[in-house]
Amino acid sequence: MKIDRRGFIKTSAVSLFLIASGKDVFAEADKDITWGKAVCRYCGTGCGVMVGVRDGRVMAVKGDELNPVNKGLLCIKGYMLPNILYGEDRLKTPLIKRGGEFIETDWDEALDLIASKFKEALKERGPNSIAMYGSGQWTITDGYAATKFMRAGIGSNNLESNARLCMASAVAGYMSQFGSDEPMGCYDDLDYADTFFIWGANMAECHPVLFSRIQNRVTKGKNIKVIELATQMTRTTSIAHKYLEFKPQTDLAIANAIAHVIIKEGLYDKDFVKENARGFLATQRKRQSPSGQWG
Amino acid sequence: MGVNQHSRGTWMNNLIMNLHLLTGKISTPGNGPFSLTGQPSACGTIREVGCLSHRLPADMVVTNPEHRKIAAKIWNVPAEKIPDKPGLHTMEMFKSLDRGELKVLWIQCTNPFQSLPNLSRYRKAAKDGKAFIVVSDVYPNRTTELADVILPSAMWVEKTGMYGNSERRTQHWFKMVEPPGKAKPDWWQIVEVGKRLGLGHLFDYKGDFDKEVFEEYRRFTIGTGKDMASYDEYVNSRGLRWPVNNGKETKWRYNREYDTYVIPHTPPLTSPSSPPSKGGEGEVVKGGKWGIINFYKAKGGKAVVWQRPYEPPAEVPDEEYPFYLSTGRVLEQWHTGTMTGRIPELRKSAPEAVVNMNPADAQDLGIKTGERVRVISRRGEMVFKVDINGRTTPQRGTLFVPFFDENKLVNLLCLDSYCPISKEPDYKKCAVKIRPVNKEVVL
Repeated sequence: MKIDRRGFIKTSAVSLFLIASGKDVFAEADKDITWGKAVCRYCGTGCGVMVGVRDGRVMAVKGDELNPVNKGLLCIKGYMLPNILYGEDRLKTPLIKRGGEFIETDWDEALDLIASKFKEALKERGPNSIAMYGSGQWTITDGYAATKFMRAGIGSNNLESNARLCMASAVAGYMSQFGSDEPMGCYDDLDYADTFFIWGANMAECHPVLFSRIQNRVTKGKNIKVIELATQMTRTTSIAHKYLEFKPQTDLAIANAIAHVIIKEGLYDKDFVKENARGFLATQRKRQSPSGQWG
Repeated sequence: MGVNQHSRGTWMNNLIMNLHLLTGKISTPGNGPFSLTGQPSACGTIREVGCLSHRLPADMVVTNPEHRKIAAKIWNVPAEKIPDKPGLHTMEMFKSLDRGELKVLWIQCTNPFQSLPNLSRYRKAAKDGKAFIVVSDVYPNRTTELADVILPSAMWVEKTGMYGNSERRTQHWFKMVEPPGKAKPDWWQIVEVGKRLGLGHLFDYKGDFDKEVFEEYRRFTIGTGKDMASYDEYVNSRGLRWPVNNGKETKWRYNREYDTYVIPHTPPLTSPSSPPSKGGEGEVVKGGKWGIINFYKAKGGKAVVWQRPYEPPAEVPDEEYPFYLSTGRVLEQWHTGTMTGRIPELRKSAPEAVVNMNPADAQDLGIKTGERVRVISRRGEMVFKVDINGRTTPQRGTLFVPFFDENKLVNLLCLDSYCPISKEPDYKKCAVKIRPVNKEVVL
């Protein structure tokens, strides 16, 4: 059998993230290893991992079978977690740039220098000349220390994070519709749903463990449908029963068009909308007006 | 990510959630909109603790005087200490850097000088030395190279930590190994600078730092519908989904069968964000079709169906720049590759960023897989190998390039326009042209 290089990489990558926790593989290596529960360091799925430590070093990682998020599964990145700690060029000491070169120093010198720059900025331009840019990879302790430091200490709201580049639109969406951020449901929905709309998300590559949960539902459930809306075919498309390819940005029009059909054909849940939603009557009027977006 | 990284990302979220509201398919098992997050604690830390320029913990905002009062009380500072206007959002923060308005910028645990859109502008601003830049990270990357001071950070199980995932689940782990060399946790670095600025009293915790911090943070959440459990409950579980009341997690919010906030209970709700909208004590909440749904954090207990029209993209392909470019991720590399780039097995399976294009477009231009092309936008250019029918097959007239490769900073091509409501930039649409490199005239 001939497999070209790309085919091989594809196959191996896909099969690797579907491997179960590999209990037997680890059985022998388990000797002298202390295991503790942790969370995967990468994406927002939050897979539970068991971390194996021997002689002060992380030796192995396996999926946590007791964790309901991933039930023992991990993606290829998860299995490779131990090595993120042990790259050759790991930063191990504070460095100060002098004359274009980074010079090794100790904590006191680095922290004193930073504090002096903070004081200088506060004195010359005030708290708004200071900014902190953090991360969705910060632990809760890190983030809480940062927000308290900036707002209650420095007196500045110039605290941001890379999550602005990633999910700020979802925050604004949830807040403006429900008055509270974050989803109402949870991953259990993936085990109950019979129709999945995957909209602008390449789950097969970016959220592989949740993708495998949908795959599992498709395989074991009855009449499960996956409808994908996207601008390009990806590995995720492989499980889609319907693939709707839209021109970039026309997702706005498509979502409106779906709502239009639901309203026009009376497919909406009248009781639910009456009891639980606002703005619908205005929406209906808009639809009926000749100049309306819904017409 | 295409829904969020969109010049009308908030509208797209609204429109999708509209469909769930119209059909009543929401807040019940198997039904609901779900936004996937890309980082392990984008929810738990950034959204819930409130590490955005306009936010405070537990859905509170800096513009609300009541919220500032609550925060100031827990932090034991005068309410005036917390400014009443939002600070700089991310894109404005880096524009301020370019304008010379920032004196000090401290970046922790992220790689903006690879990940920002329209990257050249912001890299140049950093190089020009207009501000003193501190970067805390674990490996050298495209951001540490522009720092004035680099601080070595402890990562993952080198420190005790808690993360909150996409489904509202908060999880805990203990420190398992020592960090290398002098590396220290990000929070430790903040506290140490704080002490030198006379702010040590903010972090004067007596016992276990992580536990004390969490229990203080938890005070913000109690009674708000975002209730956290006690620290020890996370130590002893595989995570719990908030709101957690009396040790019980919530699978479906706003649903009486699962969410205790939908059944009136004493003491009454004291949500700082919005007053409870349901009836008096002991009264059974009247919901919709099932009589069980109540969006109790929304005004009047009702969610909003928004009208959101179509709006063209910020930049549309034309004769000169005929393609759309979208940037994104691949399985083996994570975000900017600071961590996955150190793992040989992952590096081998995705060694460099390549450009995916539609086979018909490639044929028109006489380009084959493995050939190199220059991808050019109005903001920058970069050479990539072409991969046709590779990871993705873009539709005609569109290209895809992942952004993990520190040697090929594709985001310098991207437009930095953003959704005017969420301030999130659109990485998925900018206009580019391509030139086969082997056909370029070398002078």
